[in-house]
Amino acid sequence: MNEYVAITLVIVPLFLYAVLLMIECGATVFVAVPELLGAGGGGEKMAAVYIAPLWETTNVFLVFAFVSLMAFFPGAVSIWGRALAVPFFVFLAVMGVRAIAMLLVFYRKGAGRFAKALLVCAALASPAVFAAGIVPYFLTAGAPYGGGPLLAFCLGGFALAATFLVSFSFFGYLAARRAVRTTHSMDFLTTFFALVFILVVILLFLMMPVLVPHIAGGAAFHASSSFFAGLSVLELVLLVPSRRDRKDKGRRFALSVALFAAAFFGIAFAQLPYLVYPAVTVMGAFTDPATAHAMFLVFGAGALVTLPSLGILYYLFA
Amino acid sequence: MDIVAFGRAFLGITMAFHIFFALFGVGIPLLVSLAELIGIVRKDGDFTRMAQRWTFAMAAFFVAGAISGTVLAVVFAVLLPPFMAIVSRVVILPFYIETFAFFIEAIFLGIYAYTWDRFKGKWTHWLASLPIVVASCASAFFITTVNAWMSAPQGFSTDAGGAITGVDQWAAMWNAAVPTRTGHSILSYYATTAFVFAALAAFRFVRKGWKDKNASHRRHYEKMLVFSIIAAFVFSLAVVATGDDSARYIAQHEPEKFAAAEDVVRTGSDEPFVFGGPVAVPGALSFLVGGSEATVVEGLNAFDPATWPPLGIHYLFDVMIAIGVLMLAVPAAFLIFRFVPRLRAKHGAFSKAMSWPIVITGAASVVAVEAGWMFTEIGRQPYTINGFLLTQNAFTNSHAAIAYAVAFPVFYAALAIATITVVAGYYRRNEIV
Repeated sequence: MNEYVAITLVIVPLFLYAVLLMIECGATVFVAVPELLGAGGGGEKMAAVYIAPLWETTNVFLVFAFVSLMAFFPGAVSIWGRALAVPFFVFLAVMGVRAIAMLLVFYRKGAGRFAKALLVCAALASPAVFAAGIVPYFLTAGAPYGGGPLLAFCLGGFALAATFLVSFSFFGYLAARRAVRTTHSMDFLTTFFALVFILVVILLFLMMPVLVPHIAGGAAFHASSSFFAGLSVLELVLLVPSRRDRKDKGRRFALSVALFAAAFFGIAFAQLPYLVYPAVTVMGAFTDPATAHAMFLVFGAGALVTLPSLGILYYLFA
Repeated sequence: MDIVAFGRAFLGITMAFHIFFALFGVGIPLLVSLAELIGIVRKDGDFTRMAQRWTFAMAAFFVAGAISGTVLAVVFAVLLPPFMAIVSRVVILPFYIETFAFFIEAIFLGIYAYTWDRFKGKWTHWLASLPIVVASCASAFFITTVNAWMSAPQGFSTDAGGAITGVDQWAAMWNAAVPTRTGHSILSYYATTAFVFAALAAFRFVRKGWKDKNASHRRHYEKMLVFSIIAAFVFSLAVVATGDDSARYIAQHEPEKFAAAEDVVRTGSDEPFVFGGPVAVPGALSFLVGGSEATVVEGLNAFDPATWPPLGIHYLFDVMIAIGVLMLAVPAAFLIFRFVPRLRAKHGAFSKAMSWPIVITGAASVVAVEAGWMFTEIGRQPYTINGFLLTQNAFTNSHAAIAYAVAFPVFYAALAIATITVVAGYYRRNEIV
């Protein structure tokens, strides 16, 4: 039981990180290419005001998930530490380039086109590189599935489509809340990327029995497929003829996140009990009971302080 | 170059960069908070402006520190998997606690930096600085406990096959080296940050002299210099005191390192304190270690040469001591010039003759921190975990990992250049109004 609580404490922060990172990546693109959101209409400023106080906190979610994985599942550290050396370096290099470009674009007046282009490329690449470079290892390490590059391509496309959907729906909602006029119809863009995302996920799910059979056979995967289908119908039928009020856009954002969550958690939980398939299970890699209790104790105490603080932060700026 | 030699050099470079960012990430919040507090209590707009201006540097160095820290953590995981496998089993608790401190620091940094005009009461905004101060100190504390554990590993045992058993994370975290190691390093970050700020203010007087035409600028930098140098002096006193404790701890628990640091070749009493090479004070080392000249100090001859650390750490130790003396003498001289009325009348404290040593000490204080960490890490060799894991067994055998790792010193250099460019550019564009 403790193993499953622990893996949830890894997966949930990772999910939160993914959502926040996708919103931020969208925001950085909007800041670098203000025409997308509304040059002169306050869209660029809105994205910049959102991202500036929050992006540092977003990175902590990744650190938290990373440390939680090491803390609760030390038995797997040396395995994925060795195998993922190169993908991790590539991901960190992309994140580092993004951070440097952000420093230059956000905090230095008159940033050149090169810095902005670098920012856009790095922002769009970071979720895709994570999904394509790191996730496949956990899903298929050592498994005789074949199709490695295809799986990486599919997961990278999934992350990219989710980035556009989540960020457009979020900034559509934020623009409505703050009465900011946008150049393009955010409803149209959100709907368009919702369609793209649904299509990508349908393709990914259809290919799962070939690419990652053990996931496709999991009960969690079937449940999430059904849930995803239901949400997709809701997205397509109920919200396409969108009203233009604020609450509607809020629902639209929530639905976009729910679509992503259905796919994300479906794959993540269908992977269990494997941490790294087929070499490591969560039970095999789990830490000793005394350490686990110490970690749970620290998590409880830490959450008591951190969650209200996060609440204040997002209340003030999001 | 073999993998281990390359790995050591690589980790040395990454650590050196990370410490540069991290020390300011720990030090600046305290100075910002104190400056804003003084501004509120004394209703002094100069101090409030000081806090506002320093907030930008605080945010930039936090970002850079967070990036370099994350990279460092992953670098450890991919380059030293055997080491990280042990750490994650035995002493992961401080890392886990540190992530919560990291959360609090990031959250309140966002709140503090972007709400200067948002709250009605000034105290409300100042209160937002306190979690940053506490969390940045806590972050440094918990990370340093892991480093201390590498020197004083405890909280676990091994079975006949060498497998780790009986793990007690709390015992590992509160290891014997924690009090001296954490206290000395955190206080040195505060002292160094204060010195660097003092050096920046003093550099203004070097460039423009005391008779700066702009009176508001002059007043601002005067206050900045006095405030920073008082803080630097107080923290330097604490650094020297904890440094003494730390040296005594090393003499007792890591005698090979101490012998190499103090250049003690043969075990004996009445050992002289040797500085550099030519300066030697008879009996002083024995006295410093045990309070008496009769105290026996173990020399290198008492240990197997295979366990000796590189003997060059003696010079790193001397660099720390020399700069430590400078960090006490220079602010003491400044305070005498500033507060003794006759000398003050001649503006002695803000003269170029006084400002140059402050500028030099500011730069030297950063060197001292770097030397301190190099001393700690090199002094622990040939072990990564003292007495338990040899460095040659801690490294990966993946040549691919090593090949890609070459890119990271380049990345760190780019990060350093970008951070300094952005911070310097910001202050150039935003002069004091």
